[in-house]
Amino acid sequence: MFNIGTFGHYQKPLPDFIHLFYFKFVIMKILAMIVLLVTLVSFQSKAQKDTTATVDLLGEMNKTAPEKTKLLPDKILFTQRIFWGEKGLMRSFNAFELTPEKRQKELKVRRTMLVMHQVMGMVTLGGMVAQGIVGAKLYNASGSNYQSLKDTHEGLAAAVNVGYFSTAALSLFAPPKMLNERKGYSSIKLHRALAVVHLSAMIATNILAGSLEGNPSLRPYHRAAAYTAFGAFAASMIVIKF
Amino acid sequence: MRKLGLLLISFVLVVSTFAQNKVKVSNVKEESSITYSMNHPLHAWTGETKDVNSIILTDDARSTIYQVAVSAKVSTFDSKNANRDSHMMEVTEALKFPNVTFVSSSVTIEGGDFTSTGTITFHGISQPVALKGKFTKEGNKLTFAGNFQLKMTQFKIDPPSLMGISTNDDFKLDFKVVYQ
Repeated sequence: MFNIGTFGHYQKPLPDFIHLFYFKFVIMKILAMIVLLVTLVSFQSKAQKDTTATVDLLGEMNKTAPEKTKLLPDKILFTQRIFWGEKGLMRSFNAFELTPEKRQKELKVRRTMLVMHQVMGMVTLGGMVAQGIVGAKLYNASGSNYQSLKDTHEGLAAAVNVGYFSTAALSLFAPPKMLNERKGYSSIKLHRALAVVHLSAMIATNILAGSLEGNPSLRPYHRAAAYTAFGAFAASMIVIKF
Repeated sequence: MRKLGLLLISFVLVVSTFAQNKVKVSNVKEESSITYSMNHPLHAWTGETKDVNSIILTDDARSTIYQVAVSAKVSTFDSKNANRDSHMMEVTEALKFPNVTFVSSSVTIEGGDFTSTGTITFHGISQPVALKGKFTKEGNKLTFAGNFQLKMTQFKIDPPSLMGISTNDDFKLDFKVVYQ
């Protein structure tokens, strides 16, 4: 074991300057370790600052990010614009003021109306199927059976009309979507195109129905208009995809 | 004395390690994109954004990536159907939480592959995530590409529905980010 008072196995006591040198050596060693420790701690601190640079990277991007999201699309259907445009009737109410928070709530109203639009659409389709069955029987009926079927057909017609135009209104008057229309084909564009077909056919079916009393020869055209309305209506539901 | 010398050498090495310059490099927007893929029982679709903002913290030689941050606006994802994209903005409350972001805590590159751990923030909720993918370097041009799976419910998003049927909770994100 090393003894500061000796040198190896040499037993003669060491001179004082050796002790002094050793003492200074130990002090220098301690000082060097302190300097290294301080340096490592300071670089550790710098490394911690570097991790906060991550937050700065995001902040930097946010500063140069483009403007806020627009609250309304550039083009709005005229039926929607009346109520929900920038100067629409609903904007007079505090609940529908054009702010991001209230627009978010307005989108929930839109969602509710569009879900009801889907439900009413399916109910109406069911009514059209029933109407088609009754109408086909009525086309070839005679005598007392004819009157009974005619009454049923007229009753169903009223119900289908209520269902159909309610379905249309729920879509036409719902708050507008957030974004501008995308370029190119989409299922929703086809859905809207078919809506023009079945709306025209529904109007024609009703007009022809009103004229049948004085002009029974219009029956084939009434039937054709009704089948067209049903076919386009069913197709518009099939083509819709989320 | 020898020990002191070793200590001093260690000190010099530590100093030299931290002496390298760190630079911030932004991504090339025209070549960067993020695409999500989702499934509904009636339909599968994808939505892509090319409006990706990203910055990496690297050295002059682009040999080490210290940090990565990526941000994309939810409203810029285009699935070719404005009604669907608007619906996505509704369920993700994009007016309140406009961006989806990723911030790395570590980035490791080994050959042509990279691994990065970090945090994704979407719909105001932050979740840890580990990404893996391909890394290529051509001169000063760096490309990171890969994909990973997430769940909407992880971010407290109610999956949207159509005809009363919800979409699948899982969705995939494919990314390609180019820096130069």
